[in-house]
Amino acid sequence: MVFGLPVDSWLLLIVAVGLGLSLELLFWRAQRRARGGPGRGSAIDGRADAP
Amino acid sequence: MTSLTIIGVLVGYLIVLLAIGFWGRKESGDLRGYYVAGKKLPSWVIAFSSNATGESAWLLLGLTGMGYMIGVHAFWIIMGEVLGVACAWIWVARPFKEYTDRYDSITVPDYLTERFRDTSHIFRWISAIIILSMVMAYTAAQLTASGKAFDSFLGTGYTQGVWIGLGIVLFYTTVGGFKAVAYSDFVQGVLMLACLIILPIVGIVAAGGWGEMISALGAQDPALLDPMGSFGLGPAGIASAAGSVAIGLAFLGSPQLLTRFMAARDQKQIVDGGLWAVLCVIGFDVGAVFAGMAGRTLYPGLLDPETILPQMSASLFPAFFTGMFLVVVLAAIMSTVDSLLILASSVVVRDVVQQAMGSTWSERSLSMLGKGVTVVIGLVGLAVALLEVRLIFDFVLFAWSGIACAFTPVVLCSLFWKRTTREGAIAGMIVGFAVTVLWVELFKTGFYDLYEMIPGFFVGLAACVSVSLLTRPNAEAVAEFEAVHESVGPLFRA
Repeated sequence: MVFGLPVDSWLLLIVAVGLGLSLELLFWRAQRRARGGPGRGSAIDGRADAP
Repeated sequence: MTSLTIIGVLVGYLIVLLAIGFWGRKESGDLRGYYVAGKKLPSWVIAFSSNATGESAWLLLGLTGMGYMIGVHAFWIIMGEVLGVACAWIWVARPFKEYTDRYDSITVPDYLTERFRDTSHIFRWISAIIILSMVMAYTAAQLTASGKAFDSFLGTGYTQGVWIGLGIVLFYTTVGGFKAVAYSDFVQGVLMLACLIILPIVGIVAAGGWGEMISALGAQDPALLDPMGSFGLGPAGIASAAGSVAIGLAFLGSPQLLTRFMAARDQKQIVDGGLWAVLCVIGFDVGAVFAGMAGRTLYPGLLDPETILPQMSASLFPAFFTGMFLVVVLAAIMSTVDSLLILASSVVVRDVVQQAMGSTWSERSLSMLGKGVTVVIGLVGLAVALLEVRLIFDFVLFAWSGIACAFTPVVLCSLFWKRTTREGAIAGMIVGFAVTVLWVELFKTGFYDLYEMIPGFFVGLAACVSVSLLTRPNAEAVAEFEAVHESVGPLFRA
């Protein structure tokens, strides 16, 4: 029991929220980096930066 | 006095909606403006609009009711929804946006027709039949919720509540088109999120704090604190958990949600919108389930668990906030009904009248026809809602899965498997939809009440893949598929 709720219930809640959120954060960070990287092909709009 | 305060809040909210309707009417003069707001929407609007459309009154009345009835077991629904929304924005949105921009599509059948180089308009006809039948059921469920909400909050009676809800939504949908729908969805989504943050906090405090609430729930029924609920770790428990997670599959391909990706200004809006959407759905679902659990502690033994939110708002808050909660329930109903009506209208006018039947009417005339069709579909939904009052949760889930199983397997194959053929896509749509309906009618009770989304989705996917393997893909479509994926770029690599 943690704060009255069984551990497996907490685990389920953490996985329920954390799995989708982690994936989204990883994706968002990678895309932001790609957008900000100088002189690189952009993964956002599919166009390479001008040389 | 109390009723006057609630009515005052309601009138204020309706004025905001009408103002949005008038503001959006400039864009609604042609089909592109009326159905996808000219493809100019920013990230925060598409994120909240997509979530508000996806969640509906099911979230506020249905999911709080599930938190009340099954407690912790409802966490599986949170998992399905959060994963579904995240995967839709990460994997589906960008290639779908790329394709639909290339084709200048304004409906999902537009996209399927172009993607599979179909000249017979068969995708448009199949889509029209499926979308119209399911939108009727879905709209009827939302209007049922409207009747229940007005009756619970103001004692108007069920029938009057249904009429009031429909009248309001028809007005701003027909006047303002998709732009008004998307921006009003944004306002409605923000209101829903605020309500679902405040309600569980106040509910838990009223129940004596977290520890008291959990103890009271355990004392009422220990299964309320068990992840597998009263089913236990057997076939019934696994079927129930899997069905709850499967609710999220619909986010990957339902037309009413894909339209938001189409209407985004550009790809950058989609990347930013995804984060908003995931955070928003977490707030929605966690708040709804915890509110239901707190409600179970405070008001055990409710005859209709789906009235727990009105019950809590009337008992725990002053009249002004009770009015706000009524507004929020209406917001959830309207944000879904408006999107469904405009989806059904787009299928009739754009896909059937303009494209399949080759109408030569002007854009303005077609837009007027679209508004007329919106009214007719709303009235049919109203007739269904008045003839039969059902449990919102079940009715919504059936319509949700009917649309999703017809479109999601085919949309996913079309976006991620270049070998998908026109014949495979047709088979996938028909089989996915038919299996969903047959499962509910013939098999569901014999298979531990397994949610129809699971057989519908996987059999539809199998039909799409197997028929595609037996037929030849269009060479031009295969080359285009590779170009689209090259253009979209990698997902997680910077």
